Amino acid sequence: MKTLIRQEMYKLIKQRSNKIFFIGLFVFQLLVALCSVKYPKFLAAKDAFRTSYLAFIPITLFFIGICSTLITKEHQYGTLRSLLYRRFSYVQVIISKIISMMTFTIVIFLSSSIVSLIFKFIFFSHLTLTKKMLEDWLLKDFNQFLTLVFLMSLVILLSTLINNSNLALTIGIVGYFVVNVFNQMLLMLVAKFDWLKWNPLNMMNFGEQLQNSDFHKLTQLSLPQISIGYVVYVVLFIGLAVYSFCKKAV
Amino acid sequence: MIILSATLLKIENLNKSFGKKEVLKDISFTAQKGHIIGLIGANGAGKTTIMKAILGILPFNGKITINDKEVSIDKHQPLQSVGALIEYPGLYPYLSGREQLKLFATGKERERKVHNIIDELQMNRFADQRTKDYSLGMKQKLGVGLALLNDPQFVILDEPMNGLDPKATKELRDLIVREKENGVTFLVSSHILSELQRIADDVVVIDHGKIVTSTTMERLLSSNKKYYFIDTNNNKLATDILLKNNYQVENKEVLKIPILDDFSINNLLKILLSKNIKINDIKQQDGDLEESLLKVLDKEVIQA
Repeated sequence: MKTLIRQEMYKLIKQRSNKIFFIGLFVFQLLVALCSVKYPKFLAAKDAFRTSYLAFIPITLFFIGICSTLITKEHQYGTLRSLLYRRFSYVQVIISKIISMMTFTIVIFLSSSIVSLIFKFIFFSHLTLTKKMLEDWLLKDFNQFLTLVFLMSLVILLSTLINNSNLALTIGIVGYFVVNVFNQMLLMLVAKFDWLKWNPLNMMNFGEQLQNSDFHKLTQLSLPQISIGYVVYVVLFIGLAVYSFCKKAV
Repeated sequence: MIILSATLLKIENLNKSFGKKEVLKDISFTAQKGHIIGLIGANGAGKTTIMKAILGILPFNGKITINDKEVSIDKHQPLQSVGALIEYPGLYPYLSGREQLKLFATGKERERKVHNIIDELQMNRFADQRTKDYSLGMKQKLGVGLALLNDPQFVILDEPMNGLDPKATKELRDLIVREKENGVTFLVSSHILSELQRIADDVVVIDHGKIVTSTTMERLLSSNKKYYFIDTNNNKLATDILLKNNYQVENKEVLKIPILDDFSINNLLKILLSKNIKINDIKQQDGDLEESLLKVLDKEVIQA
């Protein structure tokens, strides 16, 4: 497994698009920070910092992109066979991919958080970093990370089911926007139909509820319920992705 | 001292269907350690399916063992010492050849392995180029390099000579023979039968998912006629003389004489020389794999 993870990380590091994204994310955060300095009414300094200079948006789109092509790209390059006809089992191959992807997500989140903190001291030195503000910022980051992990598990499942990388990518990105819009509608429906609270999209609000305990009025789930639901669905999606991958013909 | 070569690969009653279509029917054969086995058959005969089954990337019915350990889609442990190139080389376009080799090199001496394979396959010229810019031949070389990278005991090569120029084909052939001398076993399929004829010790001929014959290359070739081609100062007269002496002469322009069981070239030459026929040239043509194969596929029985 160590060998497989090393190989997956090597591929991630060597891909030019990943390097470009890394630099692009920094530039994006810098532009948002400059906007906040110039147009504080549009984006207040405190909010800009709390949201890590909106880093979540490009990070989510990027990870949906690479997760949706996780398997299809290997198929397209004809490399899937080379990964599978070694001593490693199908399960080990897909699990190593998922672990590497999660590790990469953590690295990107940490780097964007560090950049946010640096920008805070460069551009908003007048803003006192209170304990409350720091907690808010960290919780927001954690909330966004949990939402992304949920989305990624769903997209990984999708990518194991579809052999076309463009289709998987389109479904992933369109799905993300649809889910965002649908989530608001869903919360209204959950208020009307109690049984709907157990649907997977409601679990995506786990991070939000962790940050804001009043959110349970909308999700209709207690914190232990939503946290268990979240874990169950992520495990289920990953489990189905592993099963689907093991059935893949190469 | 008698050296008995041990069995490395054993396939027993291998069956595979895609939907209702049976693509492999009761395939059984073995591969001895240190041998080169040629897997021969027309397109769609089932060669690649057999190779995929051996590599555990296809579910199948039957039993396949490598070094007495069973291989299946769920059991990949015996593949630890196996290298393969199936259909076409799968390469990451954003990596260079060297990076690709580094990616798949395992064990403690990764750098040495990468360096050696680049040297052996003479890939130094393009090893640092991204593979998206490779020609078909370069890709094929790298694919073979990846198969041989981790010092495997058993190598499966599906059409390894595809896209290679004559020089590269010879280099690959020499490399395969060298590796064989080091004890590596090969299962090779190729449409270039003359290449297989030069390197394979054993052959397995497949047709429509069934084994037509599984024998040694020597036996397969011996099933086909060998000839002497003799050029004289008077081919017409020489032909008449030989026909009178009960020899078979198939082509009267140049004397094409099949080598049969009781054939003696000495006697034939004595007869011609005694009649003052001057011999300009003599050539011997061995049995040709292509012709032998066609005979086999025409359902002619071969004693294996």
